[in-house]
Amino acid sequence: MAVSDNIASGSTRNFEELVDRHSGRIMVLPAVLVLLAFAIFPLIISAYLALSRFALAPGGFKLTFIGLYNFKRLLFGAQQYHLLGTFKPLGAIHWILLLAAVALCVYWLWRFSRDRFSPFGFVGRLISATFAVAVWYFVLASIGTGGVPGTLVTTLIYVAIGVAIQFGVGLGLALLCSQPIRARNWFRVIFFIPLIVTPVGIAYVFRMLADMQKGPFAPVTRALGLGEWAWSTEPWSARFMVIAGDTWQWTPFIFIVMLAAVENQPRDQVEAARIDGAGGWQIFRDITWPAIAPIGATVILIRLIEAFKIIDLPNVLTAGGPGLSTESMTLHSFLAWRTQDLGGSAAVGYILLFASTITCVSFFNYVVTRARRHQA
Amino acid sequence: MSAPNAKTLMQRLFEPKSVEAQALVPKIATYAVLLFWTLVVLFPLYWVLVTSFKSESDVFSGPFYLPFVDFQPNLDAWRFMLLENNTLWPYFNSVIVAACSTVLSVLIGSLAAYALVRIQFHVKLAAIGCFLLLLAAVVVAVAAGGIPWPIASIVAIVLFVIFLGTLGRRFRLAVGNNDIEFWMISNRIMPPIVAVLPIYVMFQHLRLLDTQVALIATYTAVNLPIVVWLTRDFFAGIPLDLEESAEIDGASKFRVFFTIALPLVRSGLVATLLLVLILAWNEYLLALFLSNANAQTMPVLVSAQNTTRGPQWWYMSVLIVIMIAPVIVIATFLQKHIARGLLIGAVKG
Amino acid sequence: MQVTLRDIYKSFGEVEVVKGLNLEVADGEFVVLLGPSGCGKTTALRMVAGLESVTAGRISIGERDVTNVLPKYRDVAMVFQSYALYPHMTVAENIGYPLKLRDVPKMERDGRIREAAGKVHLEDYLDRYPRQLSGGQRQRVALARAIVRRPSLFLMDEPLSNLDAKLRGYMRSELKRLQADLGVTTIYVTHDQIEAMTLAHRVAVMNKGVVQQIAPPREIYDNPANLFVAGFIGSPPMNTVPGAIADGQFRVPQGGLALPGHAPRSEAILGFRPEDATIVDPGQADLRATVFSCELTGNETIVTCSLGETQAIVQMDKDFDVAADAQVGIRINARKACLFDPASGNRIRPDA
Repeated sequence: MAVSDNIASGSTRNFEELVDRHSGRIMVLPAVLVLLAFAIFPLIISAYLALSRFALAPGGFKLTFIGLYNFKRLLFGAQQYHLLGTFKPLGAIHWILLLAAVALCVYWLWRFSRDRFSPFGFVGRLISATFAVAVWYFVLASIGTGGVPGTLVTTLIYVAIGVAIQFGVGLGLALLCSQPIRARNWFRVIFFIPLIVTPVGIAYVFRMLADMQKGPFAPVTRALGLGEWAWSTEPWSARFMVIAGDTWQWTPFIFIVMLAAVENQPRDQVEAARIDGAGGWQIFRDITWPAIAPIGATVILIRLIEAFKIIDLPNVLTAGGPGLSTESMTLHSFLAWRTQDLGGSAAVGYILLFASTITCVSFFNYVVTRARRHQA
Repeated sequence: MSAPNAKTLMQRLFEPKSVEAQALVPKIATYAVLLFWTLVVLFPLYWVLVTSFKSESDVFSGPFYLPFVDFQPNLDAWRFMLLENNTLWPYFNSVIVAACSTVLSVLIGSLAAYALVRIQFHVKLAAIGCFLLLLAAVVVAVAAGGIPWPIASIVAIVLFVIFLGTLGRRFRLAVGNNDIEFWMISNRIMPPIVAVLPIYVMFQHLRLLDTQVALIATYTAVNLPIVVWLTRDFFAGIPLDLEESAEIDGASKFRVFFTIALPLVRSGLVATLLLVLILAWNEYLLALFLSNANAQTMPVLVSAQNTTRGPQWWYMSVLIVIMIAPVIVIATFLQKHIARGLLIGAVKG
Repeated sequence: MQVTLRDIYKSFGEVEVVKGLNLEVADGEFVVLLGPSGCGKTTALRMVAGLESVTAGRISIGERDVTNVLPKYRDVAMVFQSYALYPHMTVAENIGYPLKLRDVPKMERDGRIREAAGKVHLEDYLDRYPRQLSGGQRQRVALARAIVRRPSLFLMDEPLSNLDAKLRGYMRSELKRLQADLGVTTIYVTHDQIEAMTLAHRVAVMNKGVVQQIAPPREIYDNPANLFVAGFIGSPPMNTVPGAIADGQFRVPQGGLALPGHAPRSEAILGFRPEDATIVDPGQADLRATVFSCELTGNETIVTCSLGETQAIVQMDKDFDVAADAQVGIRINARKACLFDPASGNRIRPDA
């Protein structure tokens, strides 16, 4: 029993023991401090900035508290065109579409109150519904009437259309790759590459590829009589290029995860279904899809979170142009910062934070949890 | 059908020969789609590689596709970018920033994840609320009231300690490990643009703007949630017995972490490390704000090439190639490891 | 080194898993905590190890109060059910790890690793990794790691339960020899009564967080303190037949058994071991019964009899045979029989 005393002695032992007893806190502390310093603290400062006017003054700068003025300017005032879009009066069909959306949301809320009402859930759903209706109004009033959509709508276009395309393509490729084919691993490695290529690099490469005069596809476009046309001068073709770049980069993420999900699905279930007489499509619809839906929903959630932050592609590919048509909210905020409008920049950032949080939390509560309800 | 064994042409085309095989038409379609996507993936990379060997005239006199066939490749652009232009310094910055921030965030993040998996925490909700209120009060007092920040923060800390010792004891509501973990991970939802302005101001105050330190610290924070998210599952997978056994044998919690837990999650840690390394290498927005000439990283250098004469594609291509080559090499050889990290994150959610 | 547990309570939230545990283990003694799963025996052991905090009570090892001492300062060694071998270390590194933590010089460490490995016959496997070993070998690495630092107390949490039956029997005897040679106080947790009976100097039978009886194995077997111990120990367990006591006799509708010295009771339970009874002619019997089944297990015959609502098992030698549904009698060795109170489950002792 001689060794037993070697473990520590005297005062060093007291200190060691103190460290040991609080080791949990000590281990978590660095992470908490880092997050406080670089997330929570900045978030509070940002809130303050968003409520102030920033002006350069002799020997530094001056912040004047102006309340919600920055938000008012963005949502209802002079900057409305930039964030929300230029609205034109709604026509009859737009009114019908808008009221249909309102009716749908009201019906949804009513059904929730009838089936399983909870005050917390109701308020949450009310926020989601209000946000959805508002966005739908912005879309109708700007794109629908021939007006110009603002950065909020553009960002949501990237998020919604981009993620939908990426999920479709990624899942399709994953299903094909899970077939008994040769060179599977080879495809897997190749398809993975775009995910980790620097986004700024992708943006430039796509600019090169889309060069109508000197790019690799120039002969094709010339043959089609589009030689004089430039994609970067039209809003939708420019947005399409941004989405194309984003899709090139992010499809692999969906592909990799969904491929693993498909491959992990229990073989015996598929075999049982096959013996029961199910064909390929039926197996996918009835067996595979329910098995991979929870993972699919999670993957989309992760993509949604990241998609809201898009800046590299629009900034490099089109610099937000033509006009505002490809400008994302992060880019909007960045440009505001460059013109010394720190208050406006912070306000745009906060609106992005709200939009992203509402969308992601809604998606999690209404889709992800539902998709997971069959999981153990 | 006349003979039971003879198959019609249609059957031969659309029905598989055996249960393990695919029929002809679906098989051809599958390969066609997969090869098409291979082309979609590889062609942009091929084009940028080829362009880096072109000269100005090769680029402007029309698209040329194959080196040695329709144009003569040369190393002019490479020579210029590597020797005459100041490219290596941003490259060095990128390497340093990515490597240091990755190591730091993996270290800090895995320590926190381990503690959150293995040690029970109870943090009083009231204490957190009080802390945030005081933090906000300090910000307002410094920004609007003009009180010097050291005084304000000392007063706040004293108030906080007094609160913990007196009123704070009365409150029951506490947050547990799951809440702390969720809070850490949810930081990833926050768009960096919201936080970057104050971070910019903060580093300006500390005179650290445009230094590698600023970038390393910020990147560490940004990638921390991912590390916590991924590594917690690895640690949770270690049998508890191993750690308890080490503890009885005389190891402190830190020693258990470094000699037992970390070696056991080695492969998961490598996956996390690679993923974070790539994210840090590719980061653009924060570098755009926080670096200028001195600490400029590759993505910023590349995006700044948009000169008034229009982008000089041959020079650009060299930059892009040297920027993306390392990650592509990593991706190709270590694809399995990185994919593992992605999978853990996505599947566990 | 002796170990004392004084009024130990442990709750996880609302659930109380250990309720007022008192246990004194003498220096060099081998004590087994025995009980069904969820009885709190493992929790008790983990509290001694320091892996679990104590809700109320006091634990001391030797003269020292260790109730709030961290595990590493308690000078105990523990063998886990899963062995808890570090998969990234070789056998030698595994065994040497406790020494390394104590900064024992490399030379001395190697010697002691060799010595400990020798005690469990592992000298030839020192450079292997745990995954390259069989179950029994892994078990012995865990033992070697426990003995290498000569702790003042061994704690073992079902160390043999992951082995197959044959190996378990062998390791059991090895373990007993090892403990006797080293003379280190040992607390051993198991749900396997054979292990408890064969290994222990004293067995502590636990149920629902409470110690039911602490006694040497023979005492536990022959004189169970209550119905739980009677039913838990022995395979097949002790028979229990409900009835009444009158005139120094235990009575059931099927007959009676003379048990002098017992005061009359309207309700009592008779307990007797299957081997303390024999199947006889109904005429010469204490109890009359109907044969339910008769099973030959090899070295003996197990006869299950119906006594009204209850069943009783009688162990006969291997040549015995009887048809099902036959009317038979059971004769019981009255000196080995016990009486229990049905309400409390406690043993009823004769008054005189």
